[in-house]
Amino acid sequence: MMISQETQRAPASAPIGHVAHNGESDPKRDRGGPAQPMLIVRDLKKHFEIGGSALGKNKTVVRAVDGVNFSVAKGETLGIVGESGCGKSTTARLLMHLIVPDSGDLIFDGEEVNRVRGINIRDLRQNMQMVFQDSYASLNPRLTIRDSIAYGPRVTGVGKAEALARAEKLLGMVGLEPGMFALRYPHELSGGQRQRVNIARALAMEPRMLILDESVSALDKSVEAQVLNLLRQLKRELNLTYVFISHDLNVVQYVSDRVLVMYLGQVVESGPVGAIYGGARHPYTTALLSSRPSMDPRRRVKTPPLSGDPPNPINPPSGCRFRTRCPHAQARCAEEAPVLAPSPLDPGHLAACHFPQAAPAKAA
Amino acid sequence: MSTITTTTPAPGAAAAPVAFRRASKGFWHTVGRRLARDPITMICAVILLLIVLAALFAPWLGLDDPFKQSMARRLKPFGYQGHWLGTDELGRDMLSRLVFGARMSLFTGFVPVALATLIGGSLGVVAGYAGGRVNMIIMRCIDVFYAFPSVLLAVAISGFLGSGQVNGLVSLTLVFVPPIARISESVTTRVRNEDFVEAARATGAPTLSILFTHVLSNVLGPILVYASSLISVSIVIASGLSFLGLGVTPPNAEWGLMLSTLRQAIYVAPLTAILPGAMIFITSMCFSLMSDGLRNAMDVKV
Amino acid sequence: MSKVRSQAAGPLVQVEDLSVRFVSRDMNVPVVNGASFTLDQGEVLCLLGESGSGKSVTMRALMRLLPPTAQLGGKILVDGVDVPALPRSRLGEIRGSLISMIFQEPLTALDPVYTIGQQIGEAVREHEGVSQRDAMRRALELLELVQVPSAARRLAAYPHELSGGLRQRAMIALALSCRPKLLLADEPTTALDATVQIQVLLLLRELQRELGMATIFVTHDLGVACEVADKVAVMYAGRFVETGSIEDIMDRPSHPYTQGLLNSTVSESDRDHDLASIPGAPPDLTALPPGCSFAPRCAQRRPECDTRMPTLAGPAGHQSRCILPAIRAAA
Repeated sequence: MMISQETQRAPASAPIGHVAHNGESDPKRDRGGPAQPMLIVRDLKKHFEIGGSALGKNKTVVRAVDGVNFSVAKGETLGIVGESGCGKSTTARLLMHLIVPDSGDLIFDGEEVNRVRGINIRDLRQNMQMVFQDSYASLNPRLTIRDSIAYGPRVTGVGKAEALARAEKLLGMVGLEPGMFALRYPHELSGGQRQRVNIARALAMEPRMLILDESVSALDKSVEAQVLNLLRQLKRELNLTYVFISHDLNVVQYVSDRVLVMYLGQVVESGPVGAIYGGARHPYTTALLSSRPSMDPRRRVKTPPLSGDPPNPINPPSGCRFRTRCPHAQARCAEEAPVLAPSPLDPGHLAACHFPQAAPAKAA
Repeated sequence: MSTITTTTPAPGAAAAPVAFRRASKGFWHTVGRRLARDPITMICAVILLLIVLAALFAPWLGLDDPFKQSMARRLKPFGYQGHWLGTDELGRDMLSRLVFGARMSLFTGFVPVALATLIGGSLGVVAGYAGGRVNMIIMRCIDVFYAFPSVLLAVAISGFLGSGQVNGLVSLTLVFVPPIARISESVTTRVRNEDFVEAARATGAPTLSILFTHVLSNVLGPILVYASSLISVSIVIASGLSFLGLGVTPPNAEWGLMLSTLRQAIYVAPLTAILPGAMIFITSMCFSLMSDGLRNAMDVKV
Repeated sequence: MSKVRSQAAGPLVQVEDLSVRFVSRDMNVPVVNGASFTLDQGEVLCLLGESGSGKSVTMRALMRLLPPTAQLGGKILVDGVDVPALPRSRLGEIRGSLISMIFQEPLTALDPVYTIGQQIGEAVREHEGVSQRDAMRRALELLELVQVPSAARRLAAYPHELSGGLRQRAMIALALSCRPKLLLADEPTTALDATVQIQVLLLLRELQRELGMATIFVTHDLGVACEVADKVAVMYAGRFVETGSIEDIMDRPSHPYTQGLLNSTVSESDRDHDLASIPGAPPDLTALPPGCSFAPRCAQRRPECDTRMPTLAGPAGHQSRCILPAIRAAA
C-alpha cells in the first residue's frame, strides 16, 4: 500500500518496502536483495562512565551493551526480551544511532553504517524509525498531532502540503479519524491513542524497519491488544520489518518470529520463537519463562525460579555473567565466558552456556 | 455504532474531504484563560496597566512640569494649590514627578530583564542542548558571576562604568544574565532528554529545527515565569542604584532617586517622603504577584 | 462465599455504597459510584480494572488517603472503626497500625533522606511507643521476615542504594511494622521485573497467610490476580461489574467486560490471528451514558442496556452487573 501515490518522481516519497526503480540515489532502495538480512549487528559495545572525580579518577564503568551479535531478516519480527539492566533499550538506541557505539559494526541491508563506503546516518534514519515507550513523553505537548507527525517529513525535504496530507492519511491508517484528531493536542488523547500517533509518526518517514521499544508496555491490556493488532496489520500492509523490545514474555511470544534473550548487556540465547518458548536451552531463559504468573488459580507458582534482583551492569561477574544466580553453575563458568553456540538440533537456535539444557525444558 | 468510541480499530482511510474540528486550544490559549480567571492576577494586571498607561501618556496628561522648581512651595502637603500629592523638596509637583518617574523606573525594571532573558536564555538553551564540554564551559563562566550577590554586583559594575541611565541598564542586564542562564540550562536539559526530542533527532532533523520547533516552545514557559519574577527585583535594584547615586542622575525623575532626595524630608513631610517608596512597592508587588499567577496558570496538566 | 478464617464476629472490612467524587473549580468527576463489599480476616480481595476504573481510589478511600478535592460518601467499617467519621487528627492512629499500604513505586514512597532502618524504626516507635533500640531490633526482624539478604547491613542503607526488588521488600517491611490487620497493596509489582515480581508476589502471599492479614490488592494484571487472590471484584467506570471467587472469574466470567479482558490477555495460542480486543476506550467519567456504562463497547448489547443501569445480581458468591446472565438462565 502506497502512502504518497501522488508524487512518484521524488525519491523521498518512494513507497514503503517496494523496490523503487529510481536508481542509486533513492535512500530507501532495496540494497542487498531478499536474501540479505535487513540488519546485522556485530560485537556492539557501549560503556557509560559515571561518577568519579572531574579529573577522571575513580570513574565506574557501566557496561550497558557488551558485545552483542544478532541479525534481523527482511520481513521478520525479532523480539528482544530481558530485564532491567540487560541493555535492550540501549541496544535500540544504538541501532538508531541516537547513541554512538563505542565499538562494533552495524550493517544495514549489506552496507556498513557510518562508514565511508556504506550508508550514512541520514539515509539510515530514512529507513529505520523508532516507536518509544512512554506515549506521553514522546509527543511534543505544544504541537498538534498533525504537526507532530508531519515534522519528520518536513525537515527531511518533503513539502508542507504533502507532509500534512501524509500525516492525515497515516492517522486514518492507525485508526484515528483525521477529522477528529488532526488538530488535537497530546494531552487530550488516551494512552492507546497516543501510542497510535507515535506509530503514525514513525511511519511518516516511510521506513522499512521499525524498532518498537516497549511500545505497548504502558498500556492497559485491552488497549494493548488493539495496538498489537494494528501493528500486525501495518506490518502486512507496508511490508515492514520489526524489532520488538519488551519485558512482557507473552507479548513477545505473540508478536515475534525469532527471539533474542539478553542479560547484563549480552545475548544469552537466540532462536525461533517456538524453540525458545518450547525448548529453552539457557538457564536464564528457563527461569524467565517460569517466572510468568500461571493464569490458573489452582496451579499457582510455588517457588520463585530465581532469587535476588537482576544485578547492575557495573561490575558484572567474571566468566558467565549469570553464574551468580544460576542453579547449574560450576567451576568452569567462573573462569571462561561462554559464547553463543548453535544447538545440535537446530543451527538457528543459539545459547551462550557451557552446559545448555539438552532436552527441551518445558517452560511452565 | 457507539456514541463514545473515538477510535476505530478497523483499517480506515479517512473520507476524502476532511473537515477539521479544533477540539481544544493550544497551551498559551489555555494559560491565558486561566490567568483571566484568577482574581489576584487580574487586579494586579489592572493596576499595572494604569501605571503603564500613565507612564506612556505622561506628557499628554496635563500634568505640571516635573522639572519646574519653586523654592516657595517646598514640601507642601497633599492638595495644596492644585498639587494633588503635594510637592517635593525643591517645590516640584509630586504627582507629575511620580508619573514621569514611572517611565524611568518601569523602563529600568523591564528592559534589563528583557535583554537578560534574550542573552541568558540563549546561552542557557545552547548549553542545555549541547551538553558535555560546551555546557561545562558556558555554565562555569556564568557561575563566576553568580558568586556575587546581585545588588553588590550591580553596584560594582555601575560604579565601574559610571553613573547614567545606560550604564545602569547595562549593569542590571549583566546581573540578571546568570540566573536566567541557569534556569534555561536546567529546563533545557530536562526537555532535551524527553522522548519527543529523541524522536525528532531520530528523523534526522537539523539541530536548529529541533531547537526552535521542539525545545523552545517547551522551555519558554518556565523561563518566562522566572524572568517575570525578576522584573520586580529589577525595579527595586534600579531604584537602589539611583538611591546610591549611580544609575539615573538628578534632575531626572525616578522613584529611587526621589526616595534618596526626599530622605531628609521624612520628619517634616513623612507622607510625601514615602510616596516614591510606595510606588516602588506597589509596582514590584504587582509584577511579583502576576509572575506567581503565571506560574500557577502554567501548571496545567498538559 | 467468605471462608471463615478467624473467630472474629463478622467481617473485618465492611464497605457499603462507597462513592467518591473529585470536586474542584475545574472539575466534578464521580470516580467511584456505589461500591460495596466485605472482607474477612485473612482473605485476599483483588480489585481488577484498567486505568480510570476507580480501583485505586476505592482502596485509598479505606484509609482516606485521598486528595483534598475528594468527597467521600457511604459507609466504611474496618474492624469496627467508622473511617469516614474519624476526625482528621485521629486518622494517624489507624494509618499504619490498623490499615497499612504498599505502593507501586518504592523509590517515591520511601523517604530518600532517611535510611531504611530509620524509617521502619520511626513507624514502630510512633505506633507502639518503644525505645529506639527495641525499634531497631524490630526493624531487623522485619527485614528478615521479608527475606532481605544481609538484613543488618541493609538497615543502614538509603532507598536509592537498594535495587528495585529490595526496595519493594523494604516498603513491605515498613507496612507490616505495626502488625496491621488490613494490608492495602496498590499495584506493588507492576514496576518490577518478571523474576522479581514473582518473588514479591509469593512473599506477599506467604506473609499474608502467616500474619493472617486481610489484603486488598489493586491490579490490572489477571496473572497477578490468579497468583494472590481469593476473591475478585472487577471494576469499570467506577462500579463493580463482576464479583466472585478467582476460580469463578477465570473459569466462568459472566460479564462481557470480564470476558473481554480474559480474551485480550495474550497467551501462546494466539499467534496466528488477531487478538480479540475490546473495541473503543473507557468512557469519560463526566459524561457516562445512561444505562450500562459498558454498553457502547459491548458486543452483546441489547436495547434494554441503554436505558437502565443493571444492579449486581446473581448467586451470592458470583454476581455480575449485567442483564445477560439472567436472560441466559431464563432461556
